[in-house]
Order: sequence, then structure tokens, then C-alpha cells
Amino acid sequence: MDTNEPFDTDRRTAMDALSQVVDPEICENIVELGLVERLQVEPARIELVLVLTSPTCPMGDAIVDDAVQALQQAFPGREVVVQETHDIEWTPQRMSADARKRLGWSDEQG
Amino acid sequence: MNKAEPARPRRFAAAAPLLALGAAIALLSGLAGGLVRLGWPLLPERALAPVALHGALMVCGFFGFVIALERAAALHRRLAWAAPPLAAAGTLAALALQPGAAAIAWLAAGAVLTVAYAGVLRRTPALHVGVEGAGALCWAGGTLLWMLDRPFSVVVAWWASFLVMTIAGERRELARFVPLSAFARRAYLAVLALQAAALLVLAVPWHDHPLAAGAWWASMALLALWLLRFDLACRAGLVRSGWALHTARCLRLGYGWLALVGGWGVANALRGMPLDAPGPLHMLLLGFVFAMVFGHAPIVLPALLRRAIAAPSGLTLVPVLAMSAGVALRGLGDALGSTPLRSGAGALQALAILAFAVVMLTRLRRPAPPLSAR
Repeated sequence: MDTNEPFDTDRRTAMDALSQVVDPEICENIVELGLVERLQVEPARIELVLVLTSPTCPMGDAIVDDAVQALQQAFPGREVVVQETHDIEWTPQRMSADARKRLGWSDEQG
Repeated sequence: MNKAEPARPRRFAAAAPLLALGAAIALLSGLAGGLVRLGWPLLPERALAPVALHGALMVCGFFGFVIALERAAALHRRLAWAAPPLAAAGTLAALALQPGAAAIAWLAAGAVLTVAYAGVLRRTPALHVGVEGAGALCWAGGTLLWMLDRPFSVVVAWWASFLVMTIAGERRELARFVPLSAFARRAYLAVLALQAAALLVLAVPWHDHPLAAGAWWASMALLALWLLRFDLACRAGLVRSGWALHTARCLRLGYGWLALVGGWGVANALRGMPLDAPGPLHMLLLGFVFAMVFGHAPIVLPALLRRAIAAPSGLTLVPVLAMSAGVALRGLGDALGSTPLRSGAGALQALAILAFAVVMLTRLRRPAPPLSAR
């Protein structure tokens, strides 16, 4: 029996919830854009670390707030902590293959 | 292990009414001053400040305040939060007809914003941050040139570049989401280098610089071509709907005005006309810059205020089109030297700005659902 199964299910649920958080300027969700750096799902607590696309973008706070709200709705009663890291730079390579395709990237482009 | 910062407090939303008041005072006084200049008797005769300092109120008082605010909300650095109150203090000093004190406050605001960008650049050495920081430096530099009594045409060029470089930086940031060729990357740098070089020559105090003025206008036309070709809003094949579609439409319209502005400005420079001759300058500020405002506000305001925004209606584009009609009329009035056309155009443009503010206020909703529901 896979003892991690409940946690894997939780992780999928968390990622699905985060997929509802959309950057309105790009019209892509934060999972597809590669903003999720670390997601830790525990029985009583969920911890998420986001990489924002730019430190000067005023959308950052709204995205963090929406991520908190989405996780709280998906996991009522659990403590949700969302943090942002500035130590990692967002690059287009962080986007999912589907998002890159939608935005016009070909496989060869870096 | 990476250092992560906890989610940030909602200072901006809490202070929104006060901040909106600060922006409204600068905008309304700047607009009123502009309309009085065009012959509309909106202010008592002793209210000289909005008329005499119309340009400074619009660029430093309104746009300086709004841009400083937007960056402070994003950066969450204590230093960055000093810039908006300084910009507001400049507006109050200007309205008290104290241009010297206003200039000191606006110079300080521009300097603070520049230092804030420099701090970000040290941490995140990204091109778009550098370009936005250069824009802030133009605000401070233009204000310094104003204090040094340099010709207003030079001051205006520096101030306009504050807005243009800020927008150019923001658009370059978003261009990272789509593939950019090596040519596109180099062309962007070349266009902004041309603008920066023109600004530096314009700042030299001992002679007129028709060539530099022409180069400055040419950089506007070239930037427009770059945006029309490579900007996210102009990319074919991307699915856009709702406010994203509205934004793309506004931006494309603004880029069209910018291309026309650049061409007209170069033609003026070739005929030896000053950089601030009637025509292209107002087209730049009202046609291009306000198109960016109309395009971005429905995206940025809900995020800053933590409000939802209802989907755009059929009336949403009306202020945008009215502004463009006003810009066209004003351009025609300037070209023909027609006072009635200029006055009518000014009124239409002011009404377009007020109508857009009404559209925004009526579309904002509370409380904010997740961004996905907007």
C-alpha cells in the first residue's frame, strides 16, 4: 500500500485549486506560468512558496492573496501559509509546455 | 535553502480613499488648468496655479504620484512609500503657487523612486527594471532641469520620457512571456539608447538642439513600431476576452498614436520648430499615455484595491474612443491653428477621462473573489 496516497491526492487538490488563480495580464493560471516553487501539504498545514514574475509588478499581492483564498477554500480548517521568494528569478522556461505553446513558443526556443 | 517572505499586508487597499483623493486633486486641477488655457472659464481668475503649472501638475502631480504609488505597493520597501507623499506634497505646493517648493518635493519623489528601483536592480538585475528606473531618473532629471530654468521644451522631453520609459519597461516585462528574436531584443535597446542619448544632448545648456529633438521624436516612432510588431498586446493567435481584450485594444490604439506622434515630431524638428510646439506633445500624452492608463486600469486597480471588477460592457470602450476622437480633433486644431477646434477637443478629452473614471467606479465590486472569477 502506498502510504503517501492521501498526501498525493491532497497535492493534486492543492494544484487544482491554485490553477484557479489567474494572472489577468497574461490570462494564464499561476501553475501554468510556473509560479509555484514549493508546495508542502501536511495534515494540519499547507505551505506554498511562489516565485513572482517581477518585483515591480503591482499584481503580486493580489496573486498571493488569491492563492491563500484558493487553498483555504480547498482545505477548510487547515492553516495556509503562502510566501514569496526573491532568490529565484522567474524565466519563461518555468512555464508549462502547454502555456508556452499557447504563448507562441516553439520547442527550440529557450 | 531559499529565503521566503511572508505574504504582505494590504496597506494599499486600506489607504485607498486617501490615495484616490491625492490622485484626483492633481488630475482635476491639471485638467482644469489645461481647459482654462484652451479658453474654458472653469476657474476664478485668481486661481492661477493650475493654469500656470498645468504640465507639471499632470506629469509630476498626477502621473508621478500614481506611478510612485503603484511601485510602492509592489515593492513593499519603506523607502518606496516615501515617494507618493512627496509627489502629493509637490502638488499641494504647486496649487499654493509655490513652484520652487513643488519642484523640490517632486525632485525628491523622483530621486526616491530612482533609488528604490536601484535597490530592486541590485537584487534582480532585469532589463525591464533598469528601463523603469531610467524613467524615474528622467522624472528627477526633468525636475532638476526645471529648477535650473532650462527651456521648458527640454524639461517636457525629460518628463515625457519618464512616462514613456516607464511604459516601455512594463511592456518589456510582459514581452518575456512570448518569444522575442535577437533582432527584437537589440532593436528595443537601440530605440531606448537613442532616446536616452537625445535626452542627454537636450540637457546640454549652451545651444539649441534641433537634431536631438528630432532624434527624441524619432525614438518615439521607432518605439511605436517595436510595440506594434513585438508587444504582447499585438501578438496574433493569443486568445483574449473580457478586460484582457479591452486592454489589448487600448494598447494597440495608443501605439498607433505614438507612431503618428513620432512622425509629426520629426517633421516639426526638421522645420526647426521647438520640441513643445503645439501638436505632437499633447498627442503623446493624451493619445499614447492615456490609452495605456485606460488599458491598464481595469487590470491593475482591482488588484491594488482587492476588489472584483464586473465584465466590460458595450459602453466600456466609449471613453477610449471619445479620447481618441478628442486627440484627433486636437491634432487637427493644432495643425490648423484653430482655437475652436482645440477648445472642443480639450473638453472632449477631459470628459473622456471623467467618463472613464465613472466606468471604473461603476464596474468595481466588493468583496474580491479569486482573480480567476474576474
